[in-house]
Amino acid sequence: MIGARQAFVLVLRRELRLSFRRPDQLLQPLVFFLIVTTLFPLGLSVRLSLLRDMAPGVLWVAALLSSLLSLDAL
Amino acid sequence: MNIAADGLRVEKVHVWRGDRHVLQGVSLELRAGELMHISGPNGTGKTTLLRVVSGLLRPEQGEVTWYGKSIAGAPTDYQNEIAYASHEPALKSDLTAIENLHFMVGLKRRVTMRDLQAGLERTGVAGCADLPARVLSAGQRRRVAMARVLAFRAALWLLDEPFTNLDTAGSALVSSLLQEHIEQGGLALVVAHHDLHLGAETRHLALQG
Repeated sequence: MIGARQAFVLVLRRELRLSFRRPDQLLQPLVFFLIVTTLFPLGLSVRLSLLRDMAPGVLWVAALLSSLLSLDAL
Repeated sequence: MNIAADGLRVEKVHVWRGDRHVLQGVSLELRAGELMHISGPNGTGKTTLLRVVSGLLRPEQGEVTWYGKSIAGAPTDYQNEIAYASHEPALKSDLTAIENLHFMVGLKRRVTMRDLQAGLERTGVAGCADLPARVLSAGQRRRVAMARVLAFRAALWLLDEPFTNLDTAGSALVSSLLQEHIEQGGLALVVAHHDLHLGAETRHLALQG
């Protein structure tokens, strides 16, 4: 039986290999993340104080939603 | 000597899927050097039974023991004793055949590419080793899945429809692999819709709806 560390390395290597074999699946979440975060100031306001308050929440939610896009590949 | 502790024992296993009582008190015993052919109409729980025996599904009632020990008690040790091949070959389509094997077998034991290549040669798909699984035919994928079963070097084979998509030569190959496994003292539970024409003594379990 192999150890947890070796299993982790195997899984990591497999996932990286799969990602680089399908670059679209690697780029799609990143592009989605960029679009969502860019649309907020465009859709609301460019007021810095407002954006500063919203930024952490927007970034985390966008990161969460973009990660959902890659779930199909699991 | 405790005969009941001499291999695999499934005792009065019950499984419900929602309102459906899929497995209704199924029991079986299998000793070293024995093969059991499981048959029955669609939806009678053949795959469910294999999933219970493989430890992937825990029964609501009943118990599965391996050499006298409950499989729930030492799941890691038990997993090293079994090779489960589901009715889907379960290959990542973007990985090559040998990369798929290396990952899946590598999670269980240290393995060399030469070992895996030998397994692929044995199942007649050595030429497909470096091809992505997505370009393989259904029969070739099934042969790669059988190479994985061989590479596990497990005592207990749990095969769900291992003859599906195989040509005549492929079916004969799987039969001979089973025969060899049994002759070497292995155990096998095989779900198949047609008769297994093996020289080894085959026991039969027919599940009813």
